[in-house]
Amino acid sequence: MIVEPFHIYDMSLESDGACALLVTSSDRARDCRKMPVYVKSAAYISKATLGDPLWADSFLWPDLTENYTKLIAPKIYEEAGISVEDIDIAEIYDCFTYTVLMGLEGLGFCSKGEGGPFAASGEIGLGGTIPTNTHGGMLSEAYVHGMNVVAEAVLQLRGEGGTRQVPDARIAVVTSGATTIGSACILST
Amino acid sequence: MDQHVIHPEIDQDSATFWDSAREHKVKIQRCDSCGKFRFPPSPSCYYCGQIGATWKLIEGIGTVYSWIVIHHPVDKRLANEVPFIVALVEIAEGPRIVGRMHESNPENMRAGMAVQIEYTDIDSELTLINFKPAIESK
Repeated sequence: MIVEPFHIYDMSLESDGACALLVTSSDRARDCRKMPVYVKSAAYISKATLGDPLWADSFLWPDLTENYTKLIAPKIYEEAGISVEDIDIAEIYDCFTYTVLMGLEGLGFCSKGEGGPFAASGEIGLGGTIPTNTHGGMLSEAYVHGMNVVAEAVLQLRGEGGTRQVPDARIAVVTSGATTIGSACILST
Repeated sequence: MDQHVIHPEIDQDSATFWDSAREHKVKIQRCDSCGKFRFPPSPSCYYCGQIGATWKLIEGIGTVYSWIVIHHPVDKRLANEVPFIVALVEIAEGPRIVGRMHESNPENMRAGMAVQIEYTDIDSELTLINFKPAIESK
């Protein structure tokens, strides 16, 4: 136990690593070697706390059982013209297991308070309704500050997921952040 | 209670808070524009963004919003103190304050439990704001 209730396995790895993401226009991407993956929507959100976002986590954010994902989901779904049911894979920034639970609830994959049982049921596994953090996340693959979270979504949508490939993955949600501040996007083939 | 401390950097925004603690009182800022109390000390209001605040004495009571139990000493000088409890307390005036909980048994912690400030003198310069279960008046 490190800091109760977080055990060492509730915390992401410490890694030295690197990721590269090439972002370009869809016109240019069409001529590139790899199949392009499209950004259908993207948003950044910070619940209004004027002046000191770092303190806001504990001191000002009213309910520590939810995070930015609840506020950002409607924006990215609307801009992408999708609803949560359309999403095939979820790559949720997992600095700690707790952000995955809040993310599953906030993004609408399960209802408030159900994140734990939902995850434990196998629904976030390869054969489940919403395969999540298919690379093992930052808890198990490596902590590259969210860049490997995005990279995994791209690999899945390109069909390069190897033994962890989710069949017919076409639409992914990717998140980045922990508590009050975060960003997210919808990627699709 | 033993409490190893890395001394806080006291600046022009927080000096009044730390001075009051040394006198076993707590003063925090109340916004002159919107009237909300704020913590930690800052030059502008977290709620309305305006500059201008008046320092007010607070009652020193609150309820526990949540808590953690530190098991792993991030600094080896804390090795003799773990495990210890750190609480996030909602004080009566509204804001939350973080402080060591003077309670050795995590089983006694309850969300919403009443607590009061416990002043912990570290040295002649520094007194910390900690918390203890509120003493019930019968």
